[in-house]
Amino acid sequence: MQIGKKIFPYPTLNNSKNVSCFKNSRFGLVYEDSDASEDKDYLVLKNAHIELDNESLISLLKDGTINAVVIIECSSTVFRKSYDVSIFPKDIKVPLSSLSEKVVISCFLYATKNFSYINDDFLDDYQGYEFQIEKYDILAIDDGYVTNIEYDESKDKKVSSIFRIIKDEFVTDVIKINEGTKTIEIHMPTNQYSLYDNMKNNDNFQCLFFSILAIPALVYVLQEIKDQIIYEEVSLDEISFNYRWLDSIRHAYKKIYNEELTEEMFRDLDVVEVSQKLMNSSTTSAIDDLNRLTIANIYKGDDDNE
Amino acid sequence: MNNKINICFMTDEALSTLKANALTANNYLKTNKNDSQWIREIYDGKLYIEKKQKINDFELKVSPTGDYSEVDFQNSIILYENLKDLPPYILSDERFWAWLNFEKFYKVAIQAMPVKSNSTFLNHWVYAQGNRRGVFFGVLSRCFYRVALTVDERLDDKYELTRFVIKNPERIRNLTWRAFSSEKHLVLGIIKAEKDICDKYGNVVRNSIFTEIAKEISLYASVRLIDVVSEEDIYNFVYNKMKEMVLSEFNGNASAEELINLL
Repeated sequence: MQIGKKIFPYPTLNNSKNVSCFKNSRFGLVYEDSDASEDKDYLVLKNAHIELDNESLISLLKDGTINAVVIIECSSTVFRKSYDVSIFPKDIKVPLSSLSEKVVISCFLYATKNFSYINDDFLDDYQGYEFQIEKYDILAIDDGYVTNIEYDESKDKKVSSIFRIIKDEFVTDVIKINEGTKTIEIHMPTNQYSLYDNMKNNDNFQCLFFSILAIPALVYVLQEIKDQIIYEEVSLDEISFNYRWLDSIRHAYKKIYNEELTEEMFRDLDVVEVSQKLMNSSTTSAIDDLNRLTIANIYKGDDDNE
Repeated sequence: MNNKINICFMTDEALSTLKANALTANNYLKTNKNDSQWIREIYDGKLYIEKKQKINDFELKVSPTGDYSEVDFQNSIILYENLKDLPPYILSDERFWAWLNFEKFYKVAIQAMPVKSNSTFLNHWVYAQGNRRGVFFGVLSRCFYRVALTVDERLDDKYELTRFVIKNPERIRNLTWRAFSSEKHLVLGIIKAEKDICDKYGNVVRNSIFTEIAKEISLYASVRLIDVVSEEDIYNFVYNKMKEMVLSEFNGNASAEELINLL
């Protein structure tokens, strides 16, 4: 659950300074990522605890007037659970089998009973007022973290293609590209899909298909990402979160160029060249293949004439 | 003892191809009530992949009269009892439900969700509107989750609330669109209050009140941390709010005697 910039009818302490109604106080959830090898079947928030430096709120926390919880939510698996936390570290473990895709980890202070609320560190606009807080009212917010979980205990280790060719009845005389979450989809008219389907397993045509389908698709999506970084100021991490195939591209890039494909490098990326390199230089290979096939056909024709 | 079978997922390729040919699929659903062989006309590659998880092999009932509401409750319970031990990441996976809808229980799914518009296939047979909405829109997945969210082991009849919501799905539908409905204790408290109000006021409780109460809960949760609200407190909130709504709606039309009876 994330609160964002929602305005409350009383002052709230927010981890995000620009929406906080406190001058100097800080509130936030702190935890360490666990060693994946230790708890490979769990999402673990190791040593999870809150950091709170407002004496008045600390005092309310100590006497039980308010409480702190972490909420872990995964909308797609219908999972949402709250965990009590405090200033003392403890591990929170969630089975990965309960999670899939987007997981939101947030933290709150809330009232456990009604009380009158004043605080020396309220922003000036709120100074001098006393607020009537009701049981369950939210008093402090850390919208926390969003992570992406892809868990399939039965999945084999084979890396599947980042492309998917789809027969699409709504596409007529062009190929369309759709950036899906898991794969880059290449949508093809029904007739051409049938032809492609008949030829796709022929080794002679692999580079040809890469160069007329996969490489243009890759150029398109890499340019889109580059534009998002440059013109929309979206971070590469956010983009990677939405497009899981991007991890495979970055992995392949590192193998070819021996360096990480960072956000900075994306800004100056030659997407046409990189796309061809990532696809094993299939465009030039396709021309070689065409030449080879043409020559083979000529000789075959000679044979036929004999 | 039941035979065990491996569960299957529809392949990503098959699912994407069906979605990209939704109008054709929708038309096939209208005309093919007995089997899903028509999928081969759209996609002739590998349709399903077997996963390592096993379940009891079980069957669902087809209504002999064609009225699915006659078997809805019974089928929902059978689905829940046979699938409940699967992990949530599988239970919420569109590809798993595609296997159940199109392969294992096609005739049941057709009866449960006849094609009424061009969007029936996209909205109810696959998850075209995202995973969360898909789970609660899906032909059979929504049956499973209606049970999962309402079964209460503390009651003499643990399916008492399930029966209540399946009899009229409006009683839970509006809650399930909202993220807080992932907290089962909240759903139990809300449905118990709805049931007590319906038991007390009977036919006076119109369906629109379930839409309104879902909005009232969202309003209640606007500054409160709804996750930590106890089952008892959400019950009291919903019960009192619904009572207020019922009485205010009735107020203009009731005689003094009827009003006293309602109180």
